[in-house]
Amino acid sequence: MQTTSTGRRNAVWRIGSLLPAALLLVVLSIYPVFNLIGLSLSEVHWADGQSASTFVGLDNYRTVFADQPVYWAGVRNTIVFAVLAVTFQMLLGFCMALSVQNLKGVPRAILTAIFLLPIVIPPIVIGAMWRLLLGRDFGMVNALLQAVGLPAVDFLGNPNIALFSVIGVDVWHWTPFVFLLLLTGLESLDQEVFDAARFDVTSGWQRLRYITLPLMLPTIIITLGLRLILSFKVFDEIYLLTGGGPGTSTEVINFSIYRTFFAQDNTGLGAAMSVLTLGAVAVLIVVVNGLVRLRRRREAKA
Amino acid sequence: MSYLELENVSKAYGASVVIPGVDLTIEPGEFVCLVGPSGSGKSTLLRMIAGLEPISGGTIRVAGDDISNADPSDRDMAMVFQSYALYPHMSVADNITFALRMRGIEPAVIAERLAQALKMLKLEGLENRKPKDLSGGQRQRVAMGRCIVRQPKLFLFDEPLSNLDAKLRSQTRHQIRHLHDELKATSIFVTHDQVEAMTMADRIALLNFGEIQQIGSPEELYLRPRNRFTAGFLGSPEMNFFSGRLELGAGLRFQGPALMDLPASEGRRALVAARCQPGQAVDLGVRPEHLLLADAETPGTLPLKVQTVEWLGAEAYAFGTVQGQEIGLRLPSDRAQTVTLPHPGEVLHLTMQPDSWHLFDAEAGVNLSLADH
Amino acid sequence: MRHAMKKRFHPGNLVAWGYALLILGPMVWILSNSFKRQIDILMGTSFAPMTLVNYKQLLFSRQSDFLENLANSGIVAVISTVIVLAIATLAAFTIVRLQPPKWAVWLLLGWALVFHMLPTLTFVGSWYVMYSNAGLHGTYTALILTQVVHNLPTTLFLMVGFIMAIPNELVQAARLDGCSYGQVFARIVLPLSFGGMAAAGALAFISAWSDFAIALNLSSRHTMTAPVAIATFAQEHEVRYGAMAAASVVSMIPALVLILFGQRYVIRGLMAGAVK
Repeated sequence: MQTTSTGRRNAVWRIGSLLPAALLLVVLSIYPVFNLIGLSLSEVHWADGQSASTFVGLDNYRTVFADQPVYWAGVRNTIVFAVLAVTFQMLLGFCMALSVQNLKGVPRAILTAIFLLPIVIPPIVIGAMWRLLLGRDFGMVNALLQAVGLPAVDFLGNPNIALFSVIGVDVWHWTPFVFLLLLTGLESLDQEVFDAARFDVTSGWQRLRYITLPLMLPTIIITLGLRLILSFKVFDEIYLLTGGGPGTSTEVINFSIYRTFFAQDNTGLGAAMSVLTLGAVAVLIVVVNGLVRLRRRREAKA
Repeated sequence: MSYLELENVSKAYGASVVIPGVDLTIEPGEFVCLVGPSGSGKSTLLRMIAGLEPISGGTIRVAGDDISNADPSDRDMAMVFQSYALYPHMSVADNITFALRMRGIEPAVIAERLAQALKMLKLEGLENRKPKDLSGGQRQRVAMGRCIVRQPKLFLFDEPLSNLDAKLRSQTRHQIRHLHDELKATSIFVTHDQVEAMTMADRIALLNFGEIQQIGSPEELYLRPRNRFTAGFLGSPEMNFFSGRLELGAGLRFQGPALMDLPASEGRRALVAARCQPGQAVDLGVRPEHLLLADAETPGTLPLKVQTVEWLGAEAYAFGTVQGQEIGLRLPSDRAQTVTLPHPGEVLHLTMQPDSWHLFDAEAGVNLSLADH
Repeated sequence: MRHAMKKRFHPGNLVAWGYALLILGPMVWILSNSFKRQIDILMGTSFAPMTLVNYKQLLFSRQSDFLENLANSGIVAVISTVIVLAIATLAAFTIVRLQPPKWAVWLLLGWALVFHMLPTLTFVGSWYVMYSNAGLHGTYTALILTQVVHNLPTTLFLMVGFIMAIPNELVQAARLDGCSYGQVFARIVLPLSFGGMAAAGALAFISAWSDFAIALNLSSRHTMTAPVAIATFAQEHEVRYGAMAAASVVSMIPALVLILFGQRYVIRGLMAGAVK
């Protein structure tokens, strides 16, 4: 280790440049996990904006498993939501990317700009928009349905349909993102390989099955994994579209946690739910990561 | 009937015409090189023959059938790409047999052809490797294997040696030509490297700006170039060019950087005299190996002040500047072998071998000293 | 078999442009709704007389704090973006070129990635408790700090990617010329990173501006941001559709401006972030 003044300056720089980021992450993202665990093992009382906890062991966890059907409905809803929403996003996004690849110039720029919109608009606004559109009595969608002679549908008020309406909004929201990602992936493939394939492959289906899909598989898997994990973060749209209702049909985990923590002021219970959720998502992340690594290792061996 | 006929084939992108109109015929079993500088249209022409690029006009016929608008998969041609374009997700064996599997050929036949190809290309043992685990030379051979098993009517090569290092390039050159002969194939080989063209081709088609400058055997293009472009393209070091005027008198003389004698046989002298006007503006072209050292101050020679000398062991070249151009001559082999080389600054006096020179029209570039077929 | 070369028309093209309409449609709808009176919205009349009453009430009336809410959103978004860019760029350079200790890289890249993927609301609960106990609940400080840490992973990854694209030879040449790490950063890396910072900054700003879950629970009445305000228009009994529409339109403006003028930065940020 140098002891020259430059050497010292450099050492200071190395530490100093990493310190703010590290500090923030430790204080505001690592410590909170421990904080949550601690809170989940306590009963918390609020007075004058200050909390006071008393240790109660695993009581909160017992409550979650025994006495919170809403939470478990939320778990089920969240899983259904994640799987369905991501599936449709991927299918729709991929088909559109296939058809649009190699579109250039002004039409492409316009298309890209339009497809960026759902991604950059505040999700709460998306919720507000679709709440207006899907309203039973004066929503545009029902107006259109009735204009062609179909009966009006209570998208947000019918417990059997509400979850699918919310899934639909999420698909609307994220398909453009998947589309843009897959399109970038498609256009980064070596075009000469496709030229070579033109000698052997006659139909679009053959090309898709033997060339495009295998080559796109890594990108597709990464996009799928990413979207799946991120879909567990959904909250804003549901808050505004249905508020978790009607009943519990659109209650997702985030919503349960929100209600327990802030509407019911039950910090300990909320913390327990949070810890469980964090654990589950962490497991999911590890699994997805492991699958991606496994695939990479298998490819390298062959 | 020729194997491949291109009749007035042209290509335009919107308003810009890249290939005005090409006529080309190729006989079965021929190895033809399409050569030219970058942008000359040779790759475009090849891709049009393959069907990867639509043609804007003219017809393409293979063995009499008009295939001008046919899909690449229907033309029964196989192509080796510059970057080999191997399917990265398939093994060597799968890459080679992909075309046959797509065409529904019986597995037994596929296996047999695969084994043959692997043997011919010395790829045995590599069947299960993926392209990323192969060396450049191995990938190149896999690309060829892919073509061979299809037993196509025509083999197309798009600058396949450009990505190889120099040593590998010359080995592979021989391999490709050897394969072509063994398979009794018909091949079209695109390259910008004139050495590849000279050493591999039965015939060379030289292109510039989308037009064929000359078609013929390597000897024809080298010894009897029809125009200045062809003369300057083939040969390394390049042919030397001087601009000046022709003097017709008892003998032929060239008034350029100096008043130079043009040693000529009787027939040659008569030919030039018949073709050219006295005092006509012409470009004189002489290859470095045809320049001879003369005694100092002999009239009719060109003085050359030596600037650079290159000794390559078996050969030696001396370079100087005349009329703003670099001029080179090949020194006699005894001087190379004994390493008695001129010094920079020394002045050499040059004359040329009889009949070895060419006169090109200063404007149109046509070779005026070429005896017609 | 001879046949014409396959044309480039795909029915999928229609789907893509159809989807584009599907995206624009709702926006136009909400735009038009924002100019309708509440009555017209409720009755579902398509061509009602245009009126600015929603906007006037929203922005200028005594009962509405929306202008203040917008300002809050702006303050939090801008300041947090500036801070997160500074922190992330500084750290990214060190991570990429200065061989930091393993634990630092694990923390900053590994944990940050995991943190990014975990549901935000789980952390909001803990933050609420922490800030309240520290007396910082509802302050700008709390909101800004939270936005910074929330956007740090993405911004960090993006800047790492962008700085990796700066050839190491440039850094080495500068060091040979006598620069300390700090000088290399200030004179070489920073100027070459502006494009990347624009992309990362665009994304960070959008994220901070659009944030709802954090602001909903950590802001007070004084520091309430626009998204939270929009949510308050949708109370159980009386949904103020006109106000909601107008507020939505106004909230979309920064995003629209960004797309109009900075489309390529947004794309660059999105694609780079996802590929990792």
